[in-house]
Amino acid sequence: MISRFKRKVLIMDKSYSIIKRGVLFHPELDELNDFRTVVYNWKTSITLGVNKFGYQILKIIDTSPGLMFEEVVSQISRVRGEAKWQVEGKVRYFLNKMVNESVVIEA
Amino acid sequence: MRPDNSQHFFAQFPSKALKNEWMAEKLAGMVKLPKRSFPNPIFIRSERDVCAGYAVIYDGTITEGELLFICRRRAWKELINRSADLVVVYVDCRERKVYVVTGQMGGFPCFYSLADDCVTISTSFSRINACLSARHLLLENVVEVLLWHSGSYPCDQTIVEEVKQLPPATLLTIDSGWKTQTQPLISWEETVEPVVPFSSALGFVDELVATATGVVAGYLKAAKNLKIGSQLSSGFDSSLVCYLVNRFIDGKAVYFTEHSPLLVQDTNTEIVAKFCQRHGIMTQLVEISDLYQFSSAKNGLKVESRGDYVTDYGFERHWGLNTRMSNDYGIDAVFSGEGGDELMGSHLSEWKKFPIQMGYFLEVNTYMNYGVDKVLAPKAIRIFNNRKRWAKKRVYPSFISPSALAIGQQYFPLYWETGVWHMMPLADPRMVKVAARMPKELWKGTRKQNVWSLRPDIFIPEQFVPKGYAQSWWERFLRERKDLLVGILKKSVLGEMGLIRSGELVRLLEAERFEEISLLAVVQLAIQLEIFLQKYKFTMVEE
Repeated sequence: MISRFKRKVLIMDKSYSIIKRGVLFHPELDELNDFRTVVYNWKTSITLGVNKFGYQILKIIDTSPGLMFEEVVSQISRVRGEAKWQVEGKVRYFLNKMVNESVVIEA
Repeated sequence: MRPDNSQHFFAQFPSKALKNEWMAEKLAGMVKLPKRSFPNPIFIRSERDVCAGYAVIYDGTITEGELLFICRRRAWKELINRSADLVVVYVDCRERKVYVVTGQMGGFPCFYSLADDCVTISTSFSRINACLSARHLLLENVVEVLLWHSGSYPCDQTIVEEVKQLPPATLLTIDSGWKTQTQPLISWEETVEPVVPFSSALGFVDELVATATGVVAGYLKAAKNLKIGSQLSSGFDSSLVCYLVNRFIDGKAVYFTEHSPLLVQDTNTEIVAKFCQRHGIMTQLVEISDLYQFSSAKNGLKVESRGDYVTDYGFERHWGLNTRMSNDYGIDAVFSGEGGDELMGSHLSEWKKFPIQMGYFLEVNTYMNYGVDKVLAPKAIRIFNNRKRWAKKRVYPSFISPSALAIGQQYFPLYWETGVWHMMPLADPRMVKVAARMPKELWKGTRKQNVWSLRPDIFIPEQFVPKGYAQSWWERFLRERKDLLVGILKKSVLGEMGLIRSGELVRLLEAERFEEISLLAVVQLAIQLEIFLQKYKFTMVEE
């Protein structure tokens, strides 16, 4: 069993990429939906709603596949104009969720 | 004597007529509207304008004068908000513009082309294609056709670059400089408006049946004085429609049940008989075992393209049944339960908010799971998986699901040319709007069974069984037409383009390893496309 602390440390070394069959960006519809979107778990065939924060993370990873956790945090903090410590926990939570839902691949 | 139904709506305006002259009398003469028993053509001409097309209005009436008034005011929204199948071409000679509008229910496809110094508009792809002096083949769209893409999302292109398709509820404008513009007439905001679910399941189902009753009454009114048919299987959707038709025109409609020993998973005639007994319906059993794909070419090893790559030879079952309805029973219009499956997904708001993303997920994941790479070659898989293909799609908002719209958009020639108009009351937007208010308690499990179990007065207990997949029926064309398919695939244009695994398919067919051929629907369309592509000359346009 990995403790929460260890998991927190381990995730720093991980890189993230989109599983393409589960995410689609569409400029016109993304704007109409105020940058909320849906993603798809190809293993369970379940569709999940994603808020604007999640959308921004997915977009960052999609633009630069294989991005390290630290870099995702840096970029999202820049995009949102928030400090890294403010977004780090939320990024970790979101990425864990997306990895568990087979939308994002962790390596 | 049945009229000749082979002719399609066709208008061709040469550049001279649209660039300089704009004479209504001359332009009116360039519009060919074949006469039919149903639907009736619309044709109005004045000194300043021409209005022509077809309109079947299911929620009331529109006179020719009212239609002209709508066109003159450019009040297109009034037209497409109606429950109607329509295609209207309006030429304003003073303003020097051509307008083409399609109805929201998709019953009339509309193709257009600006090639060869002409504006050509028709309900028939093959009519326009036959006029072209040169054709450019769009590989991306060829792959989409192979995958029945129009069932996932409306198409605005065909496989031929020179021929475009106008999706349902869309306006096309062509000005004197030949600048074209297409504009969806239903807004995305309209389709995503929140709805309040019914507070009780019983209240919801009763309202759904009451709406269906009113809708079917409207359809029967639109087809007044015509000979009506209704298709009946052992499933819920066609049963509901037949039940309602029978309530209104007891004994005056002809009911048809397609059956085959190979198709019992789909239609169980014992269940049909019990349903008919309950409601006093007499149905004609139509044996369709020999109406499998490509069966009409069974007397030879060569087939000649009739010019339509979607319906040629692939829908012998529908051609056969419709021809029989028309010739033997004089049927002018037939009801079906199509749209009933889609109705049960109307409450899913993500399909309205994210139609392109949902279409992408459905298409890509379904085909990947079914092993599309065993039929398509790597180049086609690359096109299929390319998200840019989806990211550039235009938004065409609609209340009606793409797969329900695809029926009219794709299979129109077989309804039109057999002279049997196809009516799908369960795909009517009024039905969709009620179904969108399905209460949550009905969402789980098999929704259709949950819903219809609340109406034991209509459905019989034997109907509450899942339908199976009739594998032996669907693969019959492989066994019976093996030599024909091998002959076509040995000259494969799609194989040469690197889009299908034609060599592998030939090997499996020759070895009679039929069970190893996956995705029969894709194989079927590949053969249909081959028949088409082997007839015409094309220049390829890469992705």
